[in-house]
Parts: sequence; C-alpha cells; structure tokens
Amino acid sequence: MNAPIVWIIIPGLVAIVLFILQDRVKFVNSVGILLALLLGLFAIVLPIGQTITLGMLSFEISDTLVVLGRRFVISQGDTALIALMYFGAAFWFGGVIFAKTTRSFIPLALAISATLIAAFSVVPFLYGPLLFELAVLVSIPLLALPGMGVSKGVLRYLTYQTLGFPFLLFSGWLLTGIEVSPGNSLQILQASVLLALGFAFLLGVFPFHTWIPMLGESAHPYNIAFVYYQLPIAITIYALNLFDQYVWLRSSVTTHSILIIVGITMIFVGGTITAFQRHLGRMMGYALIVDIGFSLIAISSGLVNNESLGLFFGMLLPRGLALGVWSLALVVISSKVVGGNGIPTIVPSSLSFRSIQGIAHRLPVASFCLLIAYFSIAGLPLMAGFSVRHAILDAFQGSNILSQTLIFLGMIGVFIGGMRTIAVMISGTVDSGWQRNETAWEVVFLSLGSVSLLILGLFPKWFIPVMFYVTESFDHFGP
Amino acid sequence: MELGQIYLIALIIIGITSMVIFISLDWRVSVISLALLYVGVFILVSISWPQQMAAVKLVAGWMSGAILGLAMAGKPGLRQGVNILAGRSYKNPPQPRIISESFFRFSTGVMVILAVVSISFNIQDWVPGIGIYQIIAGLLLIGVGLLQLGFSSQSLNVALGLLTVLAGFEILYAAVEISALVAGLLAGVNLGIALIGAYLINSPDLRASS
Repeated sequence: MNAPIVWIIIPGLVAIVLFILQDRVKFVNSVGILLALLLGLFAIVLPIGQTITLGMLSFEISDTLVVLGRRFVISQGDTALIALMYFGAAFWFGGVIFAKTTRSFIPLALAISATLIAAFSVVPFLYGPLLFELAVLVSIPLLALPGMGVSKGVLRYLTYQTLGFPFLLFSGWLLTGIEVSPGNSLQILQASVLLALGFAFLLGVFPFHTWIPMLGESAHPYNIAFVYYQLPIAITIYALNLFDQYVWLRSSVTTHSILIIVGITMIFVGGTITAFQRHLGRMMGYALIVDIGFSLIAISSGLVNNESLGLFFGMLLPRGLALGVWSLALVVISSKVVGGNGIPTIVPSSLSFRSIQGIAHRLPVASFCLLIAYFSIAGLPLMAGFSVRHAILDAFQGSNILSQTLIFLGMIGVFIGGMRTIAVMISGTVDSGWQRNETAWEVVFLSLGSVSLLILGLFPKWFIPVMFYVTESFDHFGP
Repeated sequence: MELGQIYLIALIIIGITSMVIFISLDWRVSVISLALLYVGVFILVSISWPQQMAAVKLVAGWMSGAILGLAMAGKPGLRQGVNILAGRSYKNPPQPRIISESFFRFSTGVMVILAVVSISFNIQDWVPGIGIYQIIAGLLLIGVGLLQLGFSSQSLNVALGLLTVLAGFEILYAAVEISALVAGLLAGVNLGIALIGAYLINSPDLRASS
C-alpha cells in the first residue's frame, strides 16, 4: 500500500464507478460524501512511512508510486494539504442534495480533486500542469450542462486553461536548466516570464480573468462555485511548491513586486467592476477575482514571513463557506424565479437585477443569506472574511499611497455592489406582504452556513491557527 | 530521399493543412486536414524522439480527429441537411460571403506565416538541439491555432484551434523533453480536448439529466 494509491488512484477509480452508477442518486451521494470525509480523516490520522499495527494486521504506507518511470510522492508533510482538499470536497458534496445540480456532480468533482492532488504530487513537478489540464477537461461537463447551449464563458475557460499549461511545462524545463547553471540571467528571465504567463492564464489573473465572470453568469451556480474554490487552491499550492523549491525565485525582489502589483490590480479591477454589475452570478466571479488578489498579496508577504503564508490558507475556509452559501442562495433564487423547474441555468438572466427586483419579499432567507456570504467575501467587519483580510493588509509591508488607494477603491467597489444588490432585492411594492417561499431544508441549510460565517467572523482565532498547520508542507518559506 | 527533404515535406504538409483547417468552412475538410497535419507532426517529432514514441502523437491525433468527425456526423442539424459553415448553420450558403471570409482568413494566415519565418532563426538560439524545421512548424501551428481560436467561438472550431496550438507546442517540447509519461499525458490531453469538443458540439441536443 502506498499514499498515492490511497489518495489518488482509489478516489479516481471510485469516481469512475460512481459516474457509471450516477442514476442511483442516493447511493452516489452517500458514497461520495463518505469517501471524501474518510480520505480527509485518513490524511490526518494515518502516518506515512511508518508501520501501522491494527491487532494482528501490520502494514506500512509508503510515500511513492512509480508510473512510467516517474514518481508520484505524497509525504507526511503533504497530508495537511490532502486533508484540506478532501474536506473541501466533502463540504461541496454535502450541499449537492439542495443544489439541484446534475447527477454527475459528485463523480466528476471527486475525479477533479484526485487529479489536482496528483498534479502537485508528481515528481518531477514540471508534469503537474498536464494534470491540471486533465482536471479542467473533466470539469467542463459540470459547466456546460446537457440540454443547454454552450456559453462563450465555457469555451474561453477551456481555451485559457489549455493555453496556460504549455507555458508552465516550458518554464519547468528552463528551471531544471537554471538548477545546473544558476548564474544564467537570460534563462532566469525567460523562466520568470513563462511562469508568470502560465499562472496568469491558469489563475485568471488580469487581463486573462474574463472567463471567471462569464462562467458565473452562464454556468450552474453550485458547479461553478466548486470550480472557483477547488481549482485556484490547487494551482496556488503548485505555485507555492515552486517557490519552496527554488530559492532564487522565492528571494527575488521581482517576484515579490510582480505578486503585489498583480494582486493590487486584481483587487482594483475586480472591485470597481463589481460596483457596476447587474448579475448576481457575475458578481460572484468578480468577488473571487478580488479574493485571489488578496491571496497573491498574502503569498508575497509569505515569501518573507511564514505567518503571512498562513494567512493565505486562513482565507480558504471563509472563501469556501461563503461561496457555498452564495451559490446555494443563487440556486434557490434562480429556481424560484424561473418557476421551480430545478435547473437554474436554463435561464442565466434569472439572476440579473431585472429578474430579482423585490426578491427579498418572496425569498427573505435566501436573500439575507446571499448578502451575508457576499459581505463575508467583501471583508465587511465582523464577517468571516474580515479578520484575515485585515491581517493580510496589516502584514503588507512597504505599501505606498497609490497601492493603498487602489486597494481601498477596489474594496469600496465591492461594497457598492453589495449595497446595490440590497437596493434591488428590497425594491418594489409589497402588495402581498412578505412571504417565505423557501423549503424548510433550504432554510436550515442556508441558515447553518450563514451562522457559521458569522461565528467565523466573531471568533477568528478558532479557525485561523488550524489553517496555519498547512504551512508546514512548505519547509523553506520565511526569513 | 534525404532526411532534410522529408522534414521539409513535413513542414509543407503542416503549413498547408493548418491553413486549410483555418480557412475551410466545411467541417469534413477540416477534420481530414487535422488527420494529415498529425502526419507532419509525427515526422518532425521523430527528429527528437524514437519513432515508436513519436507514433503516439500520430495515433492520438488521428483518434482526436475521428472523435470530432463522429461528433459532427451525429449532430441532428446535419442529418436534416443543414450545412455547418465556420460553425454557423446556413440552409442556403451565401456564396459571396464565403469567398470574402475565406480570403480574409487566408490573408491573416499568410501574415502569421511571414511573422513566424522572420522570428524562427532567433528562437533557435534559445532552445539548444532544436531544428529549424521544428521551430517553424511549431510556431506556425501555434500562430494559426491562435488565429483559429480568435476567429470563432463555436465548439468545433475551438477544439480544432486548441488541437492545432497543442500540436505546435508538442513539436517544440519534444526537442527538450523525452519522457514516456509526458507523451502519455499529452496524448491524454489531446484526446480529452477532442472528447470535450465532441461533448460541447452535441450537449445542446442532449437530454438534461438533472
């Protein structure tokens, strides 16, 4: 037995079986949730590379699997990352019952999670981008549902992700050469440019961000929220592995500056555009762009201070929870606006401001929970996202007045977008009075998520230290 | 025949087929050209890789073409006699529009070819061990593929554009990396793009499973 078989091969095979059995919805949901929880739990409790004795049975989980002469390695240091990925997946699988999504969601999402873990465990690491591309390809059926038109957002997402991975493959080859001759400044420059372009395509960094809001508008809200959550985490972890491995990349002033400039640009662009949006799905996309901007600033600070890197991981729990609540609220609103047919993406315009005017009178719980999730990602004080945002800006050393102004304007833009959303939701006359049209289970699930967001905001010390454990996977960060 | 002449023929095949894929408004011609394109890719990749490994590109490319071809052939609109021109459906194809569109596409393709030839010799210094035919073919495919992606937002054309770009990248990357795992994963990506292209072509006509 070895670790890649447990956390990559087994979930991959189960995903294939579940895909075949997808008509048995309850069975697929139960197995998917249980497996994701078990894999997350195993990552915490099973020691890799040590003998485990269970009564008469004694075995060892080795860390390496050899495939076609190359290795997949999951060491003890990676288990926190694995737990993060699988607990995240279990969280998303849990919401499927209420998300009115496709039957293939859990099989495909499980396959995506396993492939993403394979991407950052392959050695040499330069093959990772190929596995990211495979994960992207698997995610397409989640974003372009059968029976509906193919949106431009899906095609652009596929195009940008596919154009990104060749840059990373080539940069991987150049990085290998730099290890041999570290003084070759031309090669360092070439590798840096290729790396920057590759990650810009994959992470949706400005100006390659357009697929993010386009998908938010056209794809099923819950499915796209899952992709918004899982894909950037895996790509960022891959980037952190690169920084961890190459000291010249980590210590370069240029790297530090690029991360800050790109991060601030994403916050400013994403925030200001959010203020003018008229579609709740697109707003979710732009809010993610702002959040990725903050995560880049956290990473840039993390290059010199390990605690700041912990802040990046500290962002993930509030982000995941907020995206989950936001997307579930969108599903409830969209299905009710369309007419309760259960397939929200049939009419993407159902989430436009024109369609949701006065929706708070008919769906008060979903509207209120959506606003809590929105302002949590926006970083409103006492919401889940606030404490980490505050800490990131606090750790953001050497910022000048221009940087601070741009970040401030971006955040103001997000708040204005939120205020406009409130105004649209409560606008109109209330002839029939306020009614609650959500089902009991929708109320319970949305309320649980919203209360969790509030608790995380009020007591951030309960969760931030836990997320700091993940930074132990990166040995070389910090001074 | 000398090896240099074979590589030149491969380059010419790649140049012609990539332009045909880009210009053609008939999906059948595009898919057949894609299959021919991979013959050129196979010859140029075999400069750097053993022929057995290079053959993976050929097989994966042909399978990709077959998948896309079958997907188009099974599209309900086509069975009803509607032509798909440049991804758009016309009951009666407007002839002047076809000529002007084809001429415009051809002109932009020629500009890409000129740009590629002019920069290829500089690139040779950056990548040790790579041949000039490989550089020209690789960049040509990437350039024409990007044009294809920029000109259309239809599923078939996007899939063809991505496969063309990847074919160019694979020629260049073969010169720097020889690995069975990379060959396998790249073949998987090619087939994956073709399968997803086929899914996107037919997904509007599929029954919703939710």
